Amino acid sequence: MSTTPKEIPFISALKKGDKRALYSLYDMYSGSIYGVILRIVSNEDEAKDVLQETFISIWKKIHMYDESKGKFYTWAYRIAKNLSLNRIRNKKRFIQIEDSGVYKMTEEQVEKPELTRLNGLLTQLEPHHQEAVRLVYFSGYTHAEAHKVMNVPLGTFKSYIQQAMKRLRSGYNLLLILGGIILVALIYG
Amino acid sequence: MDKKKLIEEGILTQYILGELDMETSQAVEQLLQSDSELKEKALELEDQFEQIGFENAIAPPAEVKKKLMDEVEAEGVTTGFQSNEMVGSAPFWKSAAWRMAAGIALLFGLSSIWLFMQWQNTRTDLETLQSQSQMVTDRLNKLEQDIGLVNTKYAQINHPDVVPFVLTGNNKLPDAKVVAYMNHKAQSVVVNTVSLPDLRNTQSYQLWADVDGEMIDMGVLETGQELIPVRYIERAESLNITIEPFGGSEHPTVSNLISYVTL
Repeated sequence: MSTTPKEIPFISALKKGDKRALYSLYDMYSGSIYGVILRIVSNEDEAKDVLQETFISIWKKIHMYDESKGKFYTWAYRIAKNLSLNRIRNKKRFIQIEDSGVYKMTEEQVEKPELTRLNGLLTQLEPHHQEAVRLVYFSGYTHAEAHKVMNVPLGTFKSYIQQAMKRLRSGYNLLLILGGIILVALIYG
Repeated sequence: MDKKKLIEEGILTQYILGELDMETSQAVEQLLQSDSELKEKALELEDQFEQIGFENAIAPPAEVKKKLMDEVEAEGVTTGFQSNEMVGSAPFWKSAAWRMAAGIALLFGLSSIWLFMQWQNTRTDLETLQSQSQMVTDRLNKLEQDIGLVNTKYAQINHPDVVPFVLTGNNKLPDAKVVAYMNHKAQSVVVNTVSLPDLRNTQSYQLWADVDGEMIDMGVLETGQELIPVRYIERAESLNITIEPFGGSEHPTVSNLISYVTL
């Protein structure tokens, strides 16, 4: 991906108070952000509320976003994750796992599992790698919490994440190469 | 904290996922600012997480965008930047808070103007009333003075001891008529000259008392006066009016006698 993201003009406009820029960014990112939120809160109505809150928050706090520190998506993801976790903590929908201090969603609160199913290259990973990424990325756990959920040492869990990201990177690079070959083939007939 | 630890221990991943506390996050940011290779690594991870996000995107219901737009368009929501600068699509004067403040200020302003005008009107009314009251007081005082004067004059001519004598003009001045009110007990005389014709500027009427054949001056008569006090002369047998040079004479000009009455 480019180091000069496509969203920069919209972010500049948003910082000047342009509402249309907010709606454009919503069109660009609401799907991926909603995917994260829905998987964390596991409730459609609440996920819709949190998504709205997330973009209101982006609207209000855009002046705090510093492009030099990271991508807009990363910043928006953090906002969405924090709001989702607050929503869950407020509703006390986590149950404490024994004495670990880790909270886990109760099974009956998960609705429409097909909505929270993982897609893309992530599904090509080994199950424990897939689960590790799911826990920290789509369930809102920290590394310190997630390794307890998987019942493996923290170091092992971290290596799961690193291996998962390495294989994903290889997969994405392969996709880019294949995409390039297809494009060249289309152009030159 | 060094670059190797940041990558191998997964701290960079935790930073991107927002798991770190503020102090550790700031330390990571400092490293990222100073190390372009690390920065590149972080960007690569960000790209990957973004890609995972897009692959697992779920289209939100259309109602969410509508609600978002409603909330933003309601203008109750403002960006943090708007406190520092005025921006195009969400002008500060359209914010609900500003409108409310402006409304209250306008109401307060109008109330103040209304109260000021009321106060001015009241002050004007009060000044008018005070002026009118002063006029009434002045008129009352004048009326009281007039009444006092009238009463005094009336007492002078209506007293039981007062005897009125009418002096009618002779053929030289037939229209002339003077009334002299004499009070022998109080030894006072007042004269009404309202019906005495005016003279030339060089002449005056003069009243004389005849005592044993000698005419004694009682005073010059000014015309048009209701009651002129003149000198009382004892044992006067008649009153006589002559026309004399302006200011009166020591001795009467008998040829200019215009009226007399015997007492």
